Amino acid sequence: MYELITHEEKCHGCGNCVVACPVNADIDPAVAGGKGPETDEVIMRVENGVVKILNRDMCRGCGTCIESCPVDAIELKVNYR
Amino acid sequence: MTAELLIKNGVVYDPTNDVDGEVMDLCIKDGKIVDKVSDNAKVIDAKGRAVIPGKVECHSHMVGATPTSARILRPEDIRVRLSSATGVRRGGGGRTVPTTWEVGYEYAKLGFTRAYEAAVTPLYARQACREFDRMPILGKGIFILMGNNWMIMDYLTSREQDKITAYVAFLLRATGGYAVKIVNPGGNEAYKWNTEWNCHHADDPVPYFGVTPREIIKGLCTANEELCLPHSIHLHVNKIGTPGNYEVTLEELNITKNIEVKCDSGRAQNTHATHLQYHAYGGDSWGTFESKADEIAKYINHHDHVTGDSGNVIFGDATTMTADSPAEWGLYKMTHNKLITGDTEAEDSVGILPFLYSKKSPVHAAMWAIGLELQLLTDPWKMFVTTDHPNGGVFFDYPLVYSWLMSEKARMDIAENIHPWALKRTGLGGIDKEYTFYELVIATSAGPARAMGVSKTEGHLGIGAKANIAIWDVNPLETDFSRDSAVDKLSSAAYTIKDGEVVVKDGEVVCAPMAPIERVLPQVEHDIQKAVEEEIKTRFKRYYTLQFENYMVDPELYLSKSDRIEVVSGKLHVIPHEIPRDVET
Repeated sequence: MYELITHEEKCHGCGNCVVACPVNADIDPAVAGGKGPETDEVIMRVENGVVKILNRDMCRGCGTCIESCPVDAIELKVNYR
Repeated sequence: MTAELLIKNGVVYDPTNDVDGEVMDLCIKDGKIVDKVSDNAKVIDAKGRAVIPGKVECHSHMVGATPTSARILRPEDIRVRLSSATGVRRGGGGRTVPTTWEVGYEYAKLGFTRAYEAAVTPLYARQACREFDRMPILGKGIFILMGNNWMIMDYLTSREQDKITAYVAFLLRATGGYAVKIVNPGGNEAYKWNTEWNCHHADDPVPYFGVTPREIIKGLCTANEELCLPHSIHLHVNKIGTPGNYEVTLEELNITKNIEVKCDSGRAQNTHATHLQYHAYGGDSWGTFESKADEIAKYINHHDHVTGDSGNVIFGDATTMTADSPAEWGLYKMTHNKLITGDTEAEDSVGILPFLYSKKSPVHAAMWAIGLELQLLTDPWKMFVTTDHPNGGVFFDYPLVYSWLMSEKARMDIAENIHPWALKRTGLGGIDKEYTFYELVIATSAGPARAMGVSKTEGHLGIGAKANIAIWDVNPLETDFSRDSAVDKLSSAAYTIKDGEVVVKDGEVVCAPMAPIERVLPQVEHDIQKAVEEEIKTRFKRYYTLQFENYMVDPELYLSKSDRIEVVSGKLHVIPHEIPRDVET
């Protein structure tokens, strides 16, 4: 229903979205403490300087990552049925 | 280092060994007191001079992140008192928050040979270790704040006492600490969520944790005794500086009544309640504010599980600094002075605010009287002279406190010229007790040494004790301190001897060796220690800004000059540091 779309050409890899995401924080205690994730089980993380979505289906569409992104590199698409 | 030293014909005061003003010789060899020395020994003529064990400061804020922040907050402070460098001393200055080196020199001039930093959060222990590493002359130790620690409160919620004990052991090992400090248990945590929140009594639950100050005190005291630490828990009870708080104080002192003391360090108490002057108030508002020092004194005199220190107030400039940030926030709302208030991650909080104690203020006048009342009414073996430097006053002014204790005339001269509440709202006017010199030595040296757990080697002058000695240019047998003010006579030592070395002569620092930091290394069972460390690692990721691996204070880098006290099955083993280095090297 919700779909995260990233624009890698805009992303400068600050990682705000990774840390802001409440689902990430719930999964990985390191993210809750403001640090980078240590597992692959999170929704997104920064790889080689750009954001990469790992588990798209876990997103529940709160939009916190979009709020936190300074360069509008992440977008939430809502697919209405 | 002078290998041998003979102090001849001194008037010796040594309360631990019941020596009350006897003229005798003291022999010192290799930093220890021995029964005789050879003819080559250097002689100090102490005829007509008082010889006492080096004083012990049991509660002072002098190093660490808090005083350093206060130095930055108060640049004006260093202009009040400046001292230039000599061949021995480094330059420095400051009065309420002196520079690191100054603290060492000035304490030594007052006859102190040992001092304890009273509040260091584990996270900022590095700063305290670094400063202590450079502070000359004084022997020292650090109290680690644990009263509002999330991990401890979590373990209290799940009622896992063995894990609390293991975590306390871990914290002390990780930070180079000497004792467990509890400040306003639970209240600081409440304040960090909302500035108007606090824990108001022993059974007031901490928000979001549900544990009460009673459980925190009991849990940490139990852990302290299970680990057989040299000092007891060092407790700053809830509701500091609030009218009517004496009931809370008595209630919280009573919590640890039945916990058995298991340490062989010589202490008899399981709780040291600090700066009790701020916790001995009656009434229900500032209008009905009055002294309840008599109640506190009565309790302590009748119970062996508690010792305390007075936290006297001295009129003039002070810098209040405490981990009890709700109290500092209260002061800020009252005075609107400049304030630092902070949150140390999952550990504790802090507050710093410059403060002026005024003779015209009714409350300050009464506070001044309460501190003295408390000290005069309590057994000096259980109540020690402090000003909670620099909260109630600065340590430079200790001779003033001594003079007030030793002379009714001296204190009445002050009491009659300040706000009448000093006599109206307290019982000071009705006390004619005057401290003898012997009692003063108990309250400044022998008593604190015993309570701190160092009485086997310090705070007395028996054979085998460390040669930490202060010699005063006054003969107490011939001096009537009730008429002649003690201020001039006790403001600078004729000699201060630290580990057999003359460090102060005629009130001037002549040598500034480095004394080691003492740190405790308690042990718990390996399995439980491992389990706790695994659990903490996960919580560190969640709660802390730094990684677990960076949390430990590296002993090689920060604690090279430390005496390690290993606690093995209830017995203390002191492992001395290597040869002390001088300042120059």
